Amino acid sequence: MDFRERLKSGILYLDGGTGSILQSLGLKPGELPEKWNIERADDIVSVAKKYYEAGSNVVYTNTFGANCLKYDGKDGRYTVEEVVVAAVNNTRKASLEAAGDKSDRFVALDIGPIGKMLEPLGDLAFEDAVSIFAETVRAGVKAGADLIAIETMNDSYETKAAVLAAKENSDLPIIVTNVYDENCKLMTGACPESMAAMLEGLSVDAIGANCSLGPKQMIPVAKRLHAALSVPLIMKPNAGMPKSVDGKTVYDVLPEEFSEIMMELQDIGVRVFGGCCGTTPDYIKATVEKTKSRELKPVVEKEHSVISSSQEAVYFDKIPILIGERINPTGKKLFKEALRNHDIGYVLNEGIKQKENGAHVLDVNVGLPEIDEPALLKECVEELQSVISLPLQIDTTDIEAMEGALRVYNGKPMVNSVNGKEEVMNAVFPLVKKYGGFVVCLTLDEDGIPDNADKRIEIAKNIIKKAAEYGIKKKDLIFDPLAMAISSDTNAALATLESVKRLTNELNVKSSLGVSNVSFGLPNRDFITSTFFTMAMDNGLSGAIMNPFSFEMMKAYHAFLALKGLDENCTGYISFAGDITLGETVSKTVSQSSGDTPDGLKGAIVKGLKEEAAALAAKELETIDGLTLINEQIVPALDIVGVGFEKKTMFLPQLLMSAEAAKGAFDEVKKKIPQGSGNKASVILATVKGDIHDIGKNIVKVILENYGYNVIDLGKDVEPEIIVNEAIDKNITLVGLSALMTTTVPAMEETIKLLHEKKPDCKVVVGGAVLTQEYADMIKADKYAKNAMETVRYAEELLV
Amino acid sequence: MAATIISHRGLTREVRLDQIERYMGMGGVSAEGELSREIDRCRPLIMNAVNAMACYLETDVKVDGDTVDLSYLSIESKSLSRLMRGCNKAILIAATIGPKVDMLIKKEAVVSKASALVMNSVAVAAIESYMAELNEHIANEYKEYSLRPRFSPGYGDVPLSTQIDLLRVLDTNRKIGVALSDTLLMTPEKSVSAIIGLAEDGCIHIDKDCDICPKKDCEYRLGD
Repeated sequence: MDFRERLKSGILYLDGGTGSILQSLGLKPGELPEKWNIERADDIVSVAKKYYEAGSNVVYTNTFGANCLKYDGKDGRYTVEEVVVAAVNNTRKASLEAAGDKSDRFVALDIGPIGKMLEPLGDLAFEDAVSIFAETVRAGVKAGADLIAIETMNDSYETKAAVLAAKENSDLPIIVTNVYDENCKLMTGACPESMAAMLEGLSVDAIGANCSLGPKQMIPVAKRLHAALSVPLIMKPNAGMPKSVDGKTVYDVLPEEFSEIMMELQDIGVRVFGGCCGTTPDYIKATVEKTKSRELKPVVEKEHSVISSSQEAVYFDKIPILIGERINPTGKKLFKEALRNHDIGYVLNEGIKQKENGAHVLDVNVGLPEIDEPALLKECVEELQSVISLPLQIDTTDIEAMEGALRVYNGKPMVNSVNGKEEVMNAVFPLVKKYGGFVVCLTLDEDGIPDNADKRIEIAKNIIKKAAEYGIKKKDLIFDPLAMAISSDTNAALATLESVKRLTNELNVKSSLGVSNVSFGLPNRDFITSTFFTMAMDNGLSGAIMNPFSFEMMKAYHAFLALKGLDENCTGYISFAGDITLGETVSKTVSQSSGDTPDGLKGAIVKGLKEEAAALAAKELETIDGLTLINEQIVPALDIVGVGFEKKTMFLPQLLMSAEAAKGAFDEVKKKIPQGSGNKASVILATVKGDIHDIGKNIVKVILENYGYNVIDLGKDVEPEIIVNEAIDKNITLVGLSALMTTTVPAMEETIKLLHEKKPDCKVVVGGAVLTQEYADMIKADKYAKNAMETVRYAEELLV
Repeated sequence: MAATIISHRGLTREVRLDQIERYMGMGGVSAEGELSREIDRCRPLIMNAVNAMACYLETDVKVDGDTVDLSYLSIESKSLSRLMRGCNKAILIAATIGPKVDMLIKKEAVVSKASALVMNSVAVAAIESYMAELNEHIANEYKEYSLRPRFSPGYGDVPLSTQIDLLRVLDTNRKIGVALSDTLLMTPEKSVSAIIGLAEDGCIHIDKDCDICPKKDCEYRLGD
């Protein structure tokens, strides 16, 4: 029988642990177990046979770590293909030789983690991870595996890479189990709901958990996964925790107890059972005996609409979801400038602030005619998802950019957007299906935007039909019936509100709006927009693309939830409104704090009070000019701190806090002085190739900027060529390089050599934990700076 | 004998303020005012993100000249062999406070480098506290032995490349999610791997871990 059919038809048993069995046969810690597929094939076949005989329908091949990083075919090592083919053959042989019903047996190509952390926390690029998995998958397909079992994944991102590789290189069924801890989290923070959303989106056939926990501890994970999933649920627990007793490894849950708890898991809704570390064929046998004849819960299709990030799932079924609209250059001068300057920090800051203001999802739009949108969108998605836990809405009309972003997205993304045009649906729906998205559908088509609700509903119906042809369910569509300006059509809002109502009640689908369009052309737009927002929510709106920085909008939202009975005990409203006293202005807080800061702006900077420094500078600038403020207050304050640091009466964190306070003051000055004046020279900073630590480099950057230098920050893990090209392009005469570990110093040496060769007038200052004057001399750096201030002093000597 | 890799979870020790200040480079000076408030703000944020995990393995030790045979890996080193002399067992250990700490510091660096530095110092103090806790835990389990100071790859003349074998033996990727970059940096960043010698006589006594480190000009070095 086909495995997918078999999954649907009833209870299924996987195998148990093999690691501990192989250890008892002599496998040593650190020894690669996959070599045994070739060198001790009989042992591997015999273990697999025992599992089939115990009742396992599926036995995993001994290929947990069989990837091309470990099996590269060099220096006498096997290739991935050699190991995988031997492994599949061994398990197949066992399935044919083991006693019992041979027709109900499957061989699963086992895929475990690569053993490296993915970027940005580690150094393995997402696409490299996909390629590494792909090689193992291709070998497994060639060898004739029946399905692919991705297991023991403790990172959602790596899980996605493995699933994509499996999908792109085979048509085999895919089952996935992740490692959850006692708090129901993966090591990198994902929860059962977010994993369920992402993996179902990727069309995985069965989903669950393995390893780390014993069966009892897996109960909460099983419950949460079951509530989220519309596919069969797998549980493959450990035999409890390992202990060392008289030099032997002993697990604290025995087969009898294990199988008892497996019955509890069955009652929750688990349909696929197996074991992990410490379990043996006896555990599987006991589980089969206990659970086989008991009633099995059917798999129920869940109707919820959900998206996810690497950390959390956001459901569109409970309360209206706020989608922050601020990451979008339209009409924003500073944002456009940031994109052109490749200032990713600016984009990240917009994201962080929106989260702090209560956004649930962030729209990401970086489309500008003069930039490479596919590259920039991908980079922004990667960076945003590495620092912000909210799901993202990929917002672009560029199909290449859309695919690139969906691919690297760590979760189930929201996609903005598709519409009723055939051409657009044919381009967008295949991507949504492949990468598992939740897609915004605009109710417009080849004839434009209809002015009435009837036609918008017609278009929506057409989109639902077309999506179904691509295998996309109604619950993965969210309709935007388009808010139009009431200033040009008095009835525009009414048509939209009626559409929202009918989408909700007649078509039973989710709806969303870019609400602010409604007030276009009117004064104090927020007044109109926020009331319209309330009306739309009352008509059933499930999400809104909006400005979380707008007080009126947030007010409307929290008041609506409280009035609608969606805010238990009004806690959300109270935490929003409790501290707000209307009519009080910011200047009051300023004058208060200036009261206990006798030294004024200078004092605020020395003390590292960021907001106060900015407010005081703004106030001072009412009476004196910017340059005077800089020369008489900001620079002297920085000098006090700088000298204090050099004398060791002040320390690095204080130096940085003062620097940030000074920056706040500088920003106020910049608002008054046209840009360009007073700028000092440019300096390049980078952490060298191979080094992923950047805290030291970032510190130097802040301090240099404070002293007026324009810092070109090339980031971490930077290739020598990139640094050299940038230095030549921008005619830079000072480059600062940072390295943390001895292993990355050679990369530093290489960069210096190349710089001196290609741009001889450029000086290189080096720093970082591992460096010393001797090291710096050895690698021919022009200067060793022990700390950030020394770098500043060197820059002052050189550049003035 | 089947070797058992033992798992340990959870940091229960307090992370001391003076340690946080030490890792901020303040060398014995106490934080005051705004900085003190910043530490108070950052400390609970980091501690909430901490997911302390460790795994360790007991092994026999044989020292022959400069070769230290640890059953599953062998290390050529003058400094390690000197430290292991008199030990017939050792603990191979790796510990981490998890990737969420790295994510939090990375996020904070976008908003404020000063806060990121404070958080980084709290995180370093946390992993060091955890190592101290593990040390105590092991000392309790091996009461008949005295523990030598922990020794990590990269110390003395032991190359950082020893990490590859050490982490593989401990199966750290699977057990605690610790991996190595191509340039031998551990991820998550706040992770420690080490070898702890177990001696039946307590003849070598070293007060502070810093005493075995050759980098005498380190600003974090503990005073004599």
